[in-house]
Amino acid sequence: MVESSGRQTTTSRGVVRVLTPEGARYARAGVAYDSAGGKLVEFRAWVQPSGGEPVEIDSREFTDRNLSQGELRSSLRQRQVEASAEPGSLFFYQSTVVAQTAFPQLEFEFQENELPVRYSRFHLIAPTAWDILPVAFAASPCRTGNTWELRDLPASPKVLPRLAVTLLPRNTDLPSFATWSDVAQWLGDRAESAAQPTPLVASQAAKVTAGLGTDRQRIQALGAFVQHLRYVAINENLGQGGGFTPAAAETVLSRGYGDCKDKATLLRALLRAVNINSWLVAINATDRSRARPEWPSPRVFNHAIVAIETESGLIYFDPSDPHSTLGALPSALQGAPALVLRPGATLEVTPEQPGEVERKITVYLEQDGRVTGRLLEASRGSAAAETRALLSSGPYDSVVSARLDAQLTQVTVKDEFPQDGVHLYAQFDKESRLALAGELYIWKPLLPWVPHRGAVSVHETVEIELHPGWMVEEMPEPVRTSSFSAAWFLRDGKLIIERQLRTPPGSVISVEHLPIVLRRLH
Amino acid sequence: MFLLLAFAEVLFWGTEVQLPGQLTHVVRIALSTTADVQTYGVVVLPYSPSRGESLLGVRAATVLPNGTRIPVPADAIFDTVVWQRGEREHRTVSWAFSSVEPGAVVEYEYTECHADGLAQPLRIPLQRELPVRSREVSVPPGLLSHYRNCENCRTHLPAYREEPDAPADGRAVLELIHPPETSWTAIAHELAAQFEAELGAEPVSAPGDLTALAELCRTRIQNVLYRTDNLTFRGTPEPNRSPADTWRRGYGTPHEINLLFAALARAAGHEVSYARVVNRQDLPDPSQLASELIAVRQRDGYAFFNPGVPYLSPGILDLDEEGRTALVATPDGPDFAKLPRSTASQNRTERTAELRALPDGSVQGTVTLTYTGHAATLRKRRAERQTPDERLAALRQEFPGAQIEHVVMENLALPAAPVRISFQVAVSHYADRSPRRLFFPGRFFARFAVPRFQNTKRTQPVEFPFAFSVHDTVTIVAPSGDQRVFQRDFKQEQLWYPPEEFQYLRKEWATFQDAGREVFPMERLH
Repeated sequence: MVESSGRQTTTSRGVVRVLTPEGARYARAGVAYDSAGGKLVEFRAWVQPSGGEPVEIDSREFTDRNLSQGELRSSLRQRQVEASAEPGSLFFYQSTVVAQTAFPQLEFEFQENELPVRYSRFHLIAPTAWDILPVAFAASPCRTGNTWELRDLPASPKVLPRLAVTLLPRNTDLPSFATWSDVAQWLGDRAESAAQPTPLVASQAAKVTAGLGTDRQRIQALGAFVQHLRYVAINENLGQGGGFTPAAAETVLSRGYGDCKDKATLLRALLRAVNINSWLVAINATDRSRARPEWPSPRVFNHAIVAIETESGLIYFDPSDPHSTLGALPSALQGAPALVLRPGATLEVTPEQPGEVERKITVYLEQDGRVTGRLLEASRGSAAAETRALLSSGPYDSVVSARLDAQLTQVTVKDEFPQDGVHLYAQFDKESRLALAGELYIWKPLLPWVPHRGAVSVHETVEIELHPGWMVEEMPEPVRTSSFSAAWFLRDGKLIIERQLRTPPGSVISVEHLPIVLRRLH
Repeated sequence: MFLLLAFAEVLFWGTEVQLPGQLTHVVRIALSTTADVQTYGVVVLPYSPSRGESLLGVRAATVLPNGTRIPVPADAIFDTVVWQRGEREHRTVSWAFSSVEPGAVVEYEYTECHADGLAQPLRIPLQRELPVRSREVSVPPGLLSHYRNCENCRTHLPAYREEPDAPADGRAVLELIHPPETSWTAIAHELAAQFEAELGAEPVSAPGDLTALAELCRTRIQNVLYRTDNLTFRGTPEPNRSPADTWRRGYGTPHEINLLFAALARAAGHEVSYARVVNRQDLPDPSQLASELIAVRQRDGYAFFNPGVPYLSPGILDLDEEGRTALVATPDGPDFAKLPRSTASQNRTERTAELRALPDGSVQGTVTLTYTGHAATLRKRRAERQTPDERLAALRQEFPGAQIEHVVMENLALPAAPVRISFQVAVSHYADRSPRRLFFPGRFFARFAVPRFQNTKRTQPVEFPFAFSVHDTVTIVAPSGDQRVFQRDFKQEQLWYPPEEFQYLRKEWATFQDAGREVFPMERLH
């Protein structure tokens, strides 16, 4: 029930029938609530054994836990209960949460997990003068008045059926989200004042950009400065939109830390101080399919980045990612729906920018099977960011040694940050890994592909010099597909391997095609 | 740039012990790099009010390289209920330091209060994940102190890093204890008297030698703390007042089952005593007593039994008992004895794979895994906590990329018996291929194994919990009927390796991992 004041009361009821011993783990329920702006006023649960009477579960058996996911502080909590239920028994629960909402939008999942659902219903009570705009995803629920129902839902759906509802309020201060422009306006208003460059911010901007001649250099320097700051999230008053309201740029600067929206806002203020315009951008960092054009809502976003105006157009930049450089969004944010918080905004899609890797490996195969070699690798764009992330996961030499599965005799890393590009040079020794098949030896000289999370183009040349005691009996046949090619040949007495891999932007491998792709890579 | 190499150092770490229940810590950390700032710019201190713990006097500040001190305001120090259930509650106090930059020092202090008094013995850690330049512990008079894993270490303590297979208590600590007010003689007399009282006078007997009696107790009496097959006790157990009760009712706690064994052994004419594992023989205090055993006098010492733990193989003590010292509470007083260790051949893993090589480079066949001794006990204990689905999922994780069907797991919940797991397996792209040939590696099991020691460097010793052996037999049959059998064996007898012997150990394991690089070549069909 949503009241005209924005007070929202949500009552949930559920009944689970346990059919098998394995199904007993579904005899559980949980309810999330904002401990700062809301209240969990009731949560009760019962178990009814087959043929028996319901027994209420003692509230002392309920668990209440903080739902912080890496935040230093979060007012979001969850109360949950797990029952011990034998096959044939029923588990049922009821909860009521009261909260003041920042904007009147609601979501309901007709099916919460892989269990089949016999009956699922969402009932809404709202002020009669308000318009109700429902959007159903992966479902066509039956609507009677303000009640939506689904019956007999099969187990394990690919997408959970969901209802999203926008209420268009009248005669209240609550915002109304009929379009994406409305959402951008509301989010932008919450962030705008925080992005004002105070004297302290302007002074910092001047210090960071001193002596830099071009806007691009200034953007790079300011971006790198904000990337340096610690990522620390403190989320309070989530129900009242605290999760969408950044701290003032000066506060973030003086603390030296902030979360994504804080860092993005500080960067905007610093840029503004050197007369470069930019916009806050709302995006979903974990689920590209969450933001859908048909349901304008701030709820679908969980991350904030910046779109910077340059002579060559808007450049998206994520100041929360310490490894990406200007013009190379992290893979997870490429090709993703995003809302630039400017007047008249619509849902846009961020650019797809494949990373690039150029790798040259020179190897000498000794008579006893030992291998000495050199690796020279240059990575750019998102591939460079991934290389930085990999190298930062431990000491250089250990990381590179583990990747090559070899002892290193020398390793050098040259990072162009905040310019694009990481150059890796390594010399290595490897013990013999030859396999023996009668009189033949089998040698696999290739390195495993480094997994890339986003679109990437890899070109690799392996040049192998063989001890005169070796003779090549057989080589693999060339392979060529739309995304991968490999060719082996002898040139000037050396064995040469050329491999290229191009994963197209936004490519998603379906489950059905996965075996085919794996076979080709193999 | 942004290469997260941490060079932070704890400049000072002080701990003041105040009896009966307070520890005040002062910590100063120098940060050198951006990575240090990221990692140590936030502090989270856990505590549990339901265990009588509280945190008081939390103060924190950043000291910039120019000497400016920026305190963390009180309202930026958060006290959060992380988890709560009934009376139980876990909380944290956390904060982020302001304006931290490379070159800055972060400092904080707080007092841990323990309403129930400090632990006995109290182990104060001296090492942490960073090197510590100066470690100061202030101890009130009257407490005995003892350094573990270091000698009088107060300055320049190296960082302690978690490493696989490191000893569980390898960190340098200062152990504090109240001076013992008793002696091992008094403790032994008390244990012996209690043991005699618990054995009772009512006779109970059964035929068989000591091993048979132990196995009788282990396999015929329902152990109320475990979920063994056919022995699961599903009621509310009445306490047994004597071994005769345990024998009549057919169930018991591990302690009651041990007492029953003792009564049966005594009835068979053996001299039987109660025994406890001792943590520190130099500290005669009941707090130093660990798990219990039954000692039976032999001509040259004692034989020890623990039938109260159902999954131990005959003749093997529990993992946390092997190799340690036991206090045998004889009527004459304390007798200390070294507990035996199991051998590599007792803790055996035997793996066989009967595989058919297929023209497309895949293999199909049957795999059988057999575990004895501790190798079996560990699997049984894990299985206690798993549903059948979880057991299957865990098995599939051991063979990533393989299709596993028709799994049969035997004896997972049977005391004493070896664990046997068999299944049908299919592995695509198993063979390496050249234009004319397929090469089927004989190292079938190595294909799925992650090298045990991946790092080339080591700071902690390596400790194996028990000696063990592995025996692999892989048979690969070609469509023509030709077959090859590949075998490899490995024995890990030595249990402790100091860091300087790590390279030798790593090479041994790498040799085993690489052992059997022979492959079975097959002409490709076109």
